[in-house]
Amino acid sequence: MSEVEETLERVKVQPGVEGYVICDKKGQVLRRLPSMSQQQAEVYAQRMTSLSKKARGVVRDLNPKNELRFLRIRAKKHEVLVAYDQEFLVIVIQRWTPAPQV
Amino acid sequence: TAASQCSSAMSSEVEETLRRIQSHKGVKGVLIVSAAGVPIRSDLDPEETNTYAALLSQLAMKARSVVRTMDETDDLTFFRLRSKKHEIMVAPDAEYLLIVIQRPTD
Repeated sequence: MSEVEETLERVKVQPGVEGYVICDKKGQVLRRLPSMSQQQAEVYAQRMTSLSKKARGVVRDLNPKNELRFLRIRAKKHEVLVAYDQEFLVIVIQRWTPAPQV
Repeated sequence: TAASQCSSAMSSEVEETLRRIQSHKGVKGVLIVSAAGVPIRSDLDPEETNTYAALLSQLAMKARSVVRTMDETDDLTFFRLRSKKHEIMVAPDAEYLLIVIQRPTD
């Protein structure tokens, strides 16, 4: 459990992080960033569980031996990162900025 | 005509961009697909092209709808699927989807 705590602490302090949710494959919220409301967390959990299952389906349709690991959905100002595991989803919501020009 | 001049200027910019992407180490394939999922350019074989085009344009629509359901003023700008064997990046636009497949980064 402390490994989970450590990881969450590291995620929390990344610049731009506005929320995180850990949920099971049914979309049940297990943990959330304390400043997020339960309702907000549940909305993210439901939506990302459903979308990541579809993404997983695409990956497996392309190659049945392949497995989805990670999904990143970027909108205008925020992006949602989903780490997809056997039993859980770890969802992080953060603000994003363009990469510096090289 | 102006339209064909314009489209040939644009298409050389498109060619440039595609060449740049294709020359990145680790890039396995690049596709341009219309918003409806019709392949326009691809360096994959025809069967793979059709499969990637259909699956990813559908997924792009779903991802976009999730973003807009959560905030109707927002929109999807990019998405990325990382799997064991590769990483697929999709840049959607009003009329096109740019799809790049590359070796996983880690």
